[in-house]
Amino acid sequence: MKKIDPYLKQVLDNFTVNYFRNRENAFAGLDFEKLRSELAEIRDQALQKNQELISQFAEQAEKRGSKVILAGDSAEANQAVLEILKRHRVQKLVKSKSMVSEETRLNDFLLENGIEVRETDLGEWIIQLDCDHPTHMVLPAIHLNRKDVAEIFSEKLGREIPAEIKTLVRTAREELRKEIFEAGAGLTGANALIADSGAMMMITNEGNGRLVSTMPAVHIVFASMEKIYPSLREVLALLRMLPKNATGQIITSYVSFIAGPHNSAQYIILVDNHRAEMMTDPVFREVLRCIKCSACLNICPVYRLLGGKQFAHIYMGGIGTLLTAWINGLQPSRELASLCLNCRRCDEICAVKIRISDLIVALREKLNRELGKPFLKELIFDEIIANPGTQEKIFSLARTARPLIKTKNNFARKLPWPLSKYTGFRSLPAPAEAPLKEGFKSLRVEKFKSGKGNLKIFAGCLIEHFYPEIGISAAQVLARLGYQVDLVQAGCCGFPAKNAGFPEAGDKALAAALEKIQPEDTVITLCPTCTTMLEQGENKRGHSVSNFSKFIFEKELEKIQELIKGKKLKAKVSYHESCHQKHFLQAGEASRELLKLIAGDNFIELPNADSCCGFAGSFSMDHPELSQALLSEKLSSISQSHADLLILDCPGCLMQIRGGCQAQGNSVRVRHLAQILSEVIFAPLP
Amino acid sequence: MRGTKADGAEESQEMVSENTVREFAAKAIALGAKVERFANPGDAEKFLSDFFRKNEIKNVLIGKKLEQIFGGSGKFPILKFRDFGEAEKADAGIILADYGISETGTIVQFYQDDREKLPGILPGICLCLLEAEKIVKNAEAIADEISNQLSQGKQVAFLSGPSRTADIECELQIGVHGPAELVILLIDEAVR
Repeated sequence: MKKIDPYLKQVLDNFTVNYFRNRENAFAGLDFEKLRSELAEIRDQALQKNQELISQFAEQAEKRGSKVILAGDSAEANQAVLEILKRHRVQKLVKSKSMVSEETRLNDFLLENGIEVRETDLGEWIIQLDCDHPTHMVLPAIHLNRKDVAEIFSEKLGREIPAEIKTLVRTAREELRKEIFEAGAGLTGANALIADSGAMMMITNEGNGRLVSTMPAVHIVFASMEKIYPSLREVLALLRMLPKNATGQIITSYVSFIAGPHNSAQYIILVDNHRAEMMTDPVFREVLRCIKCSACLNICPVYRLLGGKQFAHIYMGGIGTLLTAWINGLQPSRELASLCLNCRRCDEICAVKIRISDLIVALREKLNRELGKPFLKELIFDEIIANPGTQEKIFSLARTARPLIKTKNNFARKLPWPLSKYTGFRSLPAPAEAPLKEGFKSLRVEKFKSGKGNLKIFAGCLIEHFYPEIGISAAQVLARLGYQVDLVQAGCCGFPAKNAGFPEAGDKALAAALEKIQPEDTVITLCPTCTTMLEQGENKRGHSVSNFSKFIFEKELEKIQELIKGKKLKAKVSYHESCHQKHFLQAGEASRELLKLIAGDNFIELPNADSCCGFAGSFSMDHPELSQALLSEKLSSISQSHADLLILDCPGCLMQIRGGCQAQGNSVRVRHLAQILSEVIFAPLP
Repeated sequence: MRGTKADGAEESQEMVSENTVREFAAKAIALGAKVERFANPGDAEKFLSDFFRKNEIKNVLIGKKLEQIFGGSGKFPILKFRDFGEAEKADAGIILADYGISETGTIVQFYQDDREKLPGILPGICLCLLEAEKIVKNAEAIADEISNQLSQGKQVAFLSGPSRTADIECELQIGVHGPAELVILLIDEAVR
């Protein structure tokens, strides 16, 4: 069970606000998409030629008197450092930031071998004094406040240090200067290694990297093997991107290019730790494009809740989960992989276009395949989701038991402890009295006969069994627009299974759904998640798929305007932009525009409209405490907005948010876009 | 701009150059550097003397290249040092930039010897001389030159504003390990 630290969450929230503002300014006038496509291409080419580039780099660097050491794993890398220190009789090593040295646990190893190690990056030094590990790749001590730091400094330095940031920073400068002057060797990371000149590039803001690489007699560069680039041209493309995406700076205070030893010796240790193996993996190799900018952490809703103490093994967040699976093995990556919401925010901000969320799904598949499937999920996905017949029987049984399940307003009874954690913070719906297919039959057929063309509604399982009224509303709206409307009588689209790493079950469910669709069909979906699944099936069946709001906005805007003439909505309306509506379909604006059209001045923009509601399929079952935290933020935004009516496109979000409102006693009405359109279109003229 | 192409585009080049210089200054200031502009090296030298007197700076660190220019003048309290430990006593350092980058307000310095680097990394104040004609638009414009320097085993540093950190509570603080104050002396005439 994950615990949310309110202080850390507040710091991360504040940091995120500043970060996004600075980032936007830093990229002003630049084409981020173009820059990241180019950089992704540069990284791919460099990874393809990695071995060749390493040989070239080593040859150039050694020509100049540097020594290049290739280390297969952490043990070899750490041993290499120890041998260098022994050779030069070094007792004290100073370090500037190197995430790879965290990966190999270099500090612990050196301390065990009698070497004094001193981190010099302020954040790294603080956590070293606190005997801890970094929780963010760029801001390692983000989890500590000034009081914590003053306490740590006072205790470790044996004198009272006031909790003023200025004083703390000055103390670090003075203390670390002494250490740097005393040290026999300095170890730095590298942001890039340049093959054709044998040089390394390092970026810092504090200036400790320059001191550490200059003052001691021995300079050790400790870097992972994928950091290599053919020439300066490619490294300048990296430099154009990295500070902007990492911290929203147009450039860091210091960028150092170092070619060869300048005092007495330079050693460059390149760490493999399963990266060579990862480079040959056709699916996962793109992870190694990563330039460690941390933008994906800054945008991740779950990282923002948990920080890097809980959402990390060594590397943090989604990208860290993928690296962990290869560097540290599958086992430690399993729980981390379950923390991804699959919202795709990280994919949109990644500096090198890594498809982090898709790769997390691929990792879940690999985990299930190689470590075994969790029993309950196997039952749900392989036995139920994969078999529409079984789904039908279960829901039919649930409908029979409805009088026992149901309380008032169609919500289900709360579950007793220990299951109460799933239903305490939100009320789950009871199954509908009759499924959508029954209700659809009883609609008057002549309404649906028209010359405009045929549409088939794919409602999805939540609407089919819990919210059939949404499907009816959608059918009525489309019929009123002049279409002949029919229903695709299918079960689950398969997404929940696919997303949880059960691809066979997902494919089976999708195939069963596609069987009900004809190549000539135009399918209208009422759930953004189903839309993406059916789009994947388009090539197989030849049908076309369109999301309800996008279809109406793109094809029927004029007709809608005509139908709602004189019928303005009186309630204050707000809009929740579902993750998949926005980040999978890029269709949030269509819904928003339609709402503005029907609500006019009564439309209120919800604060953080696009923040996740915390449903995210099985995420809310795996991590109810995180689901609750995200929902509670959403509910307070809704309260702040003073809306009477909240509209959304996704039945999953509807289940979560409506359930949350019910549990909290919030009277806001939560409706699908199709429902509100139908309400306005069929309202009598005033 | 000095050294323009002989294709008659001198006037527009002049304008681009002035815009580039202004952009450089604006960007450097935005990063927290101070920028002073001088018509010639003499004026810059006078500024430095005043600066040292006003700020009661007793020990100034300079690299070899600048020693040849300023060393004999006796105008500055130049610190002589045998090792890095002695260099640590300096209150300020002067460096000579090889290039300026207008896009980011960055100073570019090439070094053969680590001693050239010290005035820019040890003292709390760094004063940097930059000839206006050495300002280029972006790093890509001097990529070949940088590559060439690296191939000769030299080091290249980009300095953009003072040393900074946001490691405690994400609050920006200036002057952690490097200089807290960066003063760029932009000189319209060549220094060397």
